[in-house]
This record gives sequence, structure tokens and C-alpha cells, in this order.
Amino acid sequence: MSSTALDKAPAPSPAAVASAQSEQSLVHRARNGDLEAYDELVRIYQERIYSAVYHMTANHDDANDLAQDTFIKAYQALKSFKGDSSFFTWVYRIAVNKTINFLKQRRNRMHMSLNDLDFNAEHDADLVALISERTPRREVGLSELQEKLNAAMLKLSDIHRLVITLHDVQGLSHEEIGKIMDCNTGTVRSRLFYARQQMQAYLSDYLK
Amino acid sequence: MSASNEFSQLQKLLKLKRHEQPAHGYFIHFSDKVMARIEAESPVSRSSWWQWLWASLDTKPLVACGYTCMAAGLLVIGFGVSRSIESDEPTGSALVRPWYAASPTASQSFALDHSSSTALALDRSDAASSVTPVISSSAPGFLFDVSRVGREPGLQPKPELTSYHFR
Repeated sequence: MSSTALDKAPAPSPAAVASAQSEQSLVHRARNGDLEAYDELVRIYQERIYSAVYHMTANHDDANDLAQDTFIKAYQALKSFKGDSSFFTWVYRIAVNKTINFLKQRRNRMHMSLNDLDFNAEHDADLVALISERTPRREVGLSELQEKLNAAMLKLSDIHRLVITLHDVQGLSHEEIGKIMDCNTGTVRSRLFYARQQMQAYLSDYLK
Repeated sequence: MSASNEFSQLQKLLKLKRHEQPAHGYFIHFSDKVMARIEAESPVSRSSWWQWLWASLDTKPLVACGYTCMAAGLLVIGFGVSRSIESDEPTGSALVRPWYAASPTASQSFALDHSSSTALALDRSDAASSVTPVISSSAPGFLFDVSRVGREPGLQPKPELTSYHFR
């Protein structure tokens, strides 16, 4: 997912990527074993799924493995997909469950392997404004900020990191997050509020 | 202070996460890797070729329909060709063809064994006709000729089991 696309549409719905009808058609074909249709579904959602897992793990290799495992698991379980929710929500749920299970297993061996910041980060007005007062060298400031930000996110519980990732990083709505996390929007809002409070405390030096 | 204002600085900072991207071209090959793993783990790839063919045709009804139409067309053409060949043949010629009925040679006609119990009497004048079947009692008659059992070596009847011993 390009950063430009993210900036323009921070909260894209699945309908923006593929219409509901075409998604249903692809899912139907994929359920009948059409690998080309499933390949298309993977291409539609690969960046979002990878991104969600990456922001949860702060590790590229883990995110790569988990994102691939998610799509393989989804394909194998496609027969059991009833269509009660959208395919997008269903795949997200698989990814989230896989990631949380993975994080429980590696609880004591957190290791960050962060992706590089793209070129647009240096030109983001909000980010520039945040670091300009603190670091005279902008590039170093961004890298440092990136590490501090990820370290702070890793201090959150899995649930709170997930809600911050889905809402504030990926731009999903409360309703969509509620479907993915299988809870109501009130719970999503309260978790989001708590997670933000925690993050604000961890990053207080950079937010004054 | 509303929640959005309270956390506006944090939300701006979290935008930095959106700029964390994997290496250029990573997503170009991502789906290929997923599909390769799916195909490797699929039971279809481990099954026999006809299962694979059936599965692939099952998912592509248009291709299956095409193959069916092609097979049906070939059948119809084959049937038409065979009918046209049959209509070209002259009627009544079948019986005079040598592979429908072979005329017996003179030695075969006189080789009939009249002493056998299963021998069939044949008129020698009819034996020359290709329409009358040639029946010889010499070879096939031996298979059912019980009168020869006991007279010839190697055809001695086995003694019947008259008593049973149980342990």
C-alpha cells in the first residue's frame, strides 16, 4: 500500500477496493477451487493484512510469515465462510487471531525488525512539525521517533495495540473494528481511549 | 477538551507508522508465494491426474462444456462415417466372404469320427457347402467323451474319498 494512497484515504472501506458484488463473485469462484480468483482476492487485501500484522509485531519477517499463513488458512477454511460478514472482515479476523496467538508464544523474546520509512515521511507536514523543535537533523529524528513509537506500541497489551493499529494507523471505523474483534463499538471506543492514554504517557517527551 | 483534541498530537505521531513500508517490490511477489504454498499444500496436487483433471474441469464449467461438445461432435461424425461406409457395401455379399464361413477341405470332411458317442452324422454332399457349418467331433468331442476315460493313460479317475478322519 503506497503512502500516498493512505494519505488520501485513511479509512478506505472494502467497497473502495472492490465492489461487494465483485468480491462475492471472487469468493464464490475461490470457494469452488478457482485459484485465479483467490489470487485476485489476495492481491486486493495483501497490503492491509500485512500492514496490520506488521504494526502488531513490529517485525517484518514475522509479519511476512503470518500474512502468508493468514491467506493460506483463509483459503483452506473458505468452505466454512458463510458470508455473514464481508470477506475483508473475515480475513482480518483470521489475521488478528493468528497474530495474537503468535505474540502469546513469543512473549519473552520481542525483537523489532522495522521497515524503512518511505520518502514521503520526510515531507509529511505533521511529522515535520513534531520533530522540528527537538531534532535539528530531520532524518535522524524520524528514525529515532520511529523506534520510540514502536517500542511504545509494544508495551501495550495485544488488544490495545490492535485497536490502535486498526483505528489510528489503518483508519478502520469503530464498526469495522467491532466486527473484527467480535465486540461492540462501545468496547472498541473504551479500549481505544485507554490505549491512547497509555501511548501518550509512554511518548510524553515527544508530544509536548 | 474532546478526545480528538486530547490525542491529536499522538494521532499525528502515529501517522509515522503509515510510512513504514517493506522493500520495494515486496507486494509484487507476495501473492505468488501464497499461491505457490497453497498449490503445494493442496490435496489436488498430490492426487492422480484424472482427479486433477476432474477438479480443474469442475471449476471451469465452460471448458468442461467445450470438451463435452467436442466429444459429442466426434461421436456423431464417427457414427455418420460408419453409416456411409455400410451403405456403400453391396447387399448379400457377406456370406460369400471367406471370413464369414470357411469351406471345409476334403480331408476335414472325411475325418469325421463316426465311432465316437458324440459324433454327429453329416451328409458328405452338404459338407462341401460353405453355408452348412462344419462340425468335427475329433478334437472338441474329446473334452466331453467320458467313454475314453480309463482307456487312455493319464485319464485315470481319482479314487473317491470314502472315509473321513477327524482329529
